[in-house]
Amino acid sequence: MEPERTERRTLVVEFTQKADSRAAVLIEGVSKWFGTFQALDKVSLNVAVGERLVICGPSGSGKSTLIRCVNQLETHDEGRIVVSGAELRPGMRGLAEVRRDVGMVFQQFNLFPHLSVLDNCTLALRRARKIPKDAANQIAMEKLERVHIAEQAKKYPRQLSGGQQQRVAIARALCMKPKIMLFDEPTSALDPEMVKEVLDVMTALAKEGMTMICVTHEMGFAREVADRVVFMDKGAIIEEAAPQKFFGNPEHDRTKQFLKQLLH
Amino acid sequence: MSFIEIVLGILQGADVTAEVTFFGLLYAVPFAVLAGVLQHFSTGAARWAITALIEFWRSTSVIVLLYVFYYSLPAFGIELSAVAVGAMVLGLNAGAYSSQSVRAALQSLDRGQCEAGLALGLNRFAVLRWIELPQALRKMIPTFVNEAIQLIKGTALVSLITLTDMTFRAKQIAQSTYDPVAIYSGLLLCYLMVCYPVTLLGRHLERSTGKLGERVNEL
Ligand SMILES: Nc1ncnc2c1ncn2[C@@H]1O[C@H](COP(=O)(O)OP(=O)(O)OP(=O)(O)O)[C@@H](O)[C@H]1O
Ligand SMILES: [Mg+2]
Repeated sequence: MEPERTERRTLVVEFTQKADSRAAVLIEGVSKWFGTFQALDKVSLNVAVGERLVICGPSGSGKSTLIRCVNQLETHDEGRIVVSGAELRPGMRGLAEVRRDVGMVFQQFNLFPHLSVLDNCTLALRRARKIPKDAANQIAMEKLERVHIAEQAKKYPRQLSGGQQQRVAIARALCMKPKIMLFDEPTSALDPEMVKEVLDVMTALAKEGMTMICVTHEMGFAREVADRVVFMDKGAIIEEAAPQKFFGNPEHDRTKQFLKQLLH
Repeated sequence: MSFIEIVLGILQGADVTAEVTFFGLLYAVPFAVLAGVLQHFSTGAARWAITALIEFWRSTSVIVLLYVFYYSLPAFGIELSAVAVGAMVLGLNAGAYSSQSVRAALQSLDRGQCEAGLALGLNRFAVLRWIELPQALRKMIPTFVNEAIQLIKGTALVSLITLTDMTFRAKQIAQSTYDPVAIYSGLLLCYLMVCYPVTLLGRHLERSTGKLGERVNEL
């Protein structure tokens, strides 16, 4: 039974991947309402495999809502979202499997306070991927080394600084070997002196070719790493361009205004 | 009869008190966790049903329930032992109270905890089992200890359905010896002796919840 189902899923994935050949994420005409308030207004956005996308925009413009739709922490009301070949629908089967391919890093870290750093990293490996404890620990230590925090593996989240916690959160997401990583303002809750250590880890990840969608206002990071910058306002994408063009010569007035505010 | 003799006499009922408390907890804890979790997750008719069940056990008089289950059910051909009735009624009553703190503990968890688990690809049940319940359990320990103590004290009521617990023993002794001051202060002392260690145990548990949490995670 099990192999048959997996086989069928692979077929479906192959088929859709051919259709949208290089797309890691495909967003088509997506709208979303919270009650009567429209948070997303017919957003369309494609992210290619290996692409690094930065999303910015004023508070309440729908940035979080958009990337949370990509792993269905929010469901969309209209439009189509395809993630590495699978179309996402409310209440779909196999959503957990899709989510295992999509790592997410939150503004507030959201580490599990009752688990050690190591157990934070191995929880999903063991309980979702059913990998035995020793093998899971090995994977976790590898990823913790990658974010330079392996020596803290036995500690609890509350014993770490914000920057350290966020690096653990990145390692935890990487343990699942995701194809796509989502970052929702990963440095906004950090003290200024800790921002760099997190951005450095993200930059390294980008250089290794990870597909990344980052909501961030760190313009230095965007310039250095992003292939494309997207500006959102009032639930819609207003402008998208390569970072040089976006920061050097933005087209839209609202973009100009926003960038001016950022500099102050 | 000396005071010591009276206390020893009362303590002959301690085994019944312990028995009813033990089986009562076997009803109370699973009922509290299950009802709290179900109430937290369900919506619509299911939520209405589980709330009604909780309210039934929470908002009716324990004495009346003891009489109903012990004296009325046999009329319908269902005969339960006094211990079974006592444990069930007291246990479900305590469990119904505790279920509200289970639900409150689950509701008070940061939404980001559940979201982080889901984002990692855990299903909803795994998130409950490995992320939410271990954290909620820690918050629930003081309430559970309180409920356990209430349960022990509540067992005094089973003397009304013929069980020879500590309170029943005290009344027996009172019939043969007229010394209400000694007998009832002896009874007070006996409940204090049984309940206080539980309070201490609860404090110890609260302090060591870190370790307890870890152990739960290895199950
Ligand atoms: N669960 C919700 N219920 C109701 N309204 C919501 C909910 N989540 C978001 N919103 C509203 O949707 C709009 C977009 O929210 P979103 O969090 O996506 O904005 P954002 O661009 O991420 O802003 P910020 O920079 O402050 O994080 C906001 O006006 C917000 O108030
Ligand atoms: Mg946001």
